[in-house]
Amino acid sequence: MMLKTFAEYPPRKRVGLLAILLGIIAAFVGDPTGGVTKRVNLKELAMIASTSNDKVDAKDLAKWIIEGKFDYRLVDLRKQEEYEKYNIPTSECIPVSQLLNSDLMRNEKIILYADDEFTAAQGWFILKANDYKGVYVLEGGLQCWKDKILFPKLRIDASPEEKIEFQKMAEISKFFGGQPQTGATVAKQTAEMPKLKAPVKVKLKKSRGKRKREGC
Amino acid sequence: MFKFKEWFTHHLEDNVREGELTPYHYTNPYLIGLLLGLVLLATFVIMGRGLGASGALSTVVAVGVETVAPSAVENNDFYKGYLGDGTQSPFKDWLVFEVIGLVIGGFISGAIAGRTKMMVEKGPRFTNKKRFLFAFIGGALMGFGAKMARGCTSGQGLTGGAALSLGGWAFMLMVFAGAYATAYFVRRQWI
Amino acid sequence: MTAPFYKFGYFNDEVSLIIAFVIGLFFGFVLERGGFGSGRMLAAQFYFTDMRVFKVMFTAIVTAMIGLFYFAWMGFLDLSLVYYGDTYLLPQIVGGLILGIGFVIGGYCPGTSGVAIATGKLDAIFYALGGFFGIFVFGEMFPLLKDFFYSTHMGKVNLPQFFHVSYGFVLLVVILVAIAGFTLVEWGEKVVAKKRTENK
Repeated sequence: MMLKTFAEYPPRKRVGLLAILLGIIAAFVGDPTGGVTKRVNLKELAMIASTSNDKVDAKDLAKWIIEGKFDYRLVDLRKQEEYEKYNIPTSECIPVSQLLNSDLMRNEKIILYADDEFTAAQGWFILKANDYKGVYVLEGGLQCWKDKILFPKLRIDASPEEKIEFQKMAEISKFFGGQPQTGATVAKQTAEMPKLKAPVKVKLKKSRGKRKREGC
Repeated sequence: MFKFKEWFTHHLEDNVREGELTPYHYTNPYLIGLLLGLVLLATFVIMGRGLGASGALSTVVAVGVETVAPSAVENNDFYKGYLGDGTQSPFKDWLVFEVIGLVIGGFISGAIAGRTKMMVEKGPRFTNKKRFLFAFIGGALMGFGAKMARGCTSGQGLTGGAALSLGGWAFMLMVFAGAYATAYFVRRQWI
Repeated sequence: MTAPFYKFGYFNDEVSLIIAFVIGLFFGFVLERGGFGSGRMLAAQFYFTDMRVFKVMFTAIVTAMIGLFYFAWMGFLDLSLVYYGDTYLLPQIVGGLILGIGFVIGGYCPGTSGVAIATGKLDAIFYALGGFFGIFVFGEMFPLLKDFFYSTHMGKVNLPQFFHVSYGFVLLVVILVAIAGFTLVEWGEKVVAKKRTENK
């Protein structure tokens, strides 16, 4: 009886009834996203973690910045205050807790860094578990950046090859406003961090590419 | 049975305007709404964004202003937003390509239904010249309003409406309010 | 596969532009097919003679809204990645009013004017020129309008959050309002049509 009446309805009324039915179900379901849990492929993550394929060497990063290569986004995971004191040029500050609310895209190459590798690894796991594809970590964190890039050291008994290499590093170091440490100055333990932006001659853009406008 | 074909093709009662049968073969509005909703849903699923239109016009304006007076753009966040950072052409934009598709898609549909005749849309008691003037004024108001509201009927109304955005719904209600409040004063144009 | 595909990096920007074009094709086709290429048809909405705009817009919104909800519920689509603009309440209310006034004076809205131009409506060309002019005026006045433009910023807020009710409940309310609206409008159209024939 009921079914027969339903079949006699014009299509738009049938579609309308279907819509109401879906609405009622929806009202009972409530929140469509509340119950969703993230499935993480632990094995795959562990596999990646055991290799060092997704680590970026400080020297490579320095070269990219100097060359003006901007196919990645450099993310500083530390607190805003620390970020303001010093950050690697072209980086942007996104604390770990804000990672998933940020405008980072899943198809972007993202390089994370913090003081050490540990915090960066936390960020790496959060992003990887949420299907971000190209997530990388700066090897050794900011500490390594300081040692290798800002304040490279030349041992007194360095070989000629090492000296040539050091000359190159000294150039890079000066670009970022650091101080190359030769035998005499190595003794000075507390080298000062370069002031933000001041010494860098080349104007650097933020590492983000064209920000995708999504609205009208 | 669900008479899909009958629904999609000529529908007499929907083609009656002003008591006369017009040569227009428009499809049932509810079916069109359903199809439009599916296009919108596909956009959400594939791109994670909605439809739009006015953004493409803004890109054209921003590029135009930049070409004529580059200094005017320098301190203007509004123009800058449509120009990007200069690494690629501002026309390499999602909305620009979507609007190009929209124009061609509209033409295909019009060609199939035999609706591509050159004409002016107006009521019988209105001159062409006045209609063009009104169209220009209306367009200017639309452009201004759409930018103020950060979107037009498709960007805010449809997209924001379906995503249940608060701003989208507020916008849409105001569009209808503004239009109904003005309709009486321009009735000679249409009726 | 998890949606939205683009945001999960299943294809790059170049492909997204091709998709934009194809989606535009469908968008334009459906709009024209629905009669949105005709300024008279669109304006008829505001004289209660043909409520097409209302019917099409609400059906589309309800369809896409139901789709979004159930895709998200199934875990197929990450609703938090679906973009919609932040709410700036006052500018959007004022902008909506101005756009509405422009709608009935000009006879189109931005998307439909593109379709109208494609099908040879000469007035739509003037409408689009006016559109460029309006955007230009806004751009030039932007330094003055800036404060208002950025006022009453409420973030990315949707109706369920604003009214503190569940998403599904809002869905049901919108569907019921839409269907009640359709019924009312069908009845209204008949009344108006009857009056018109009596007057003649």
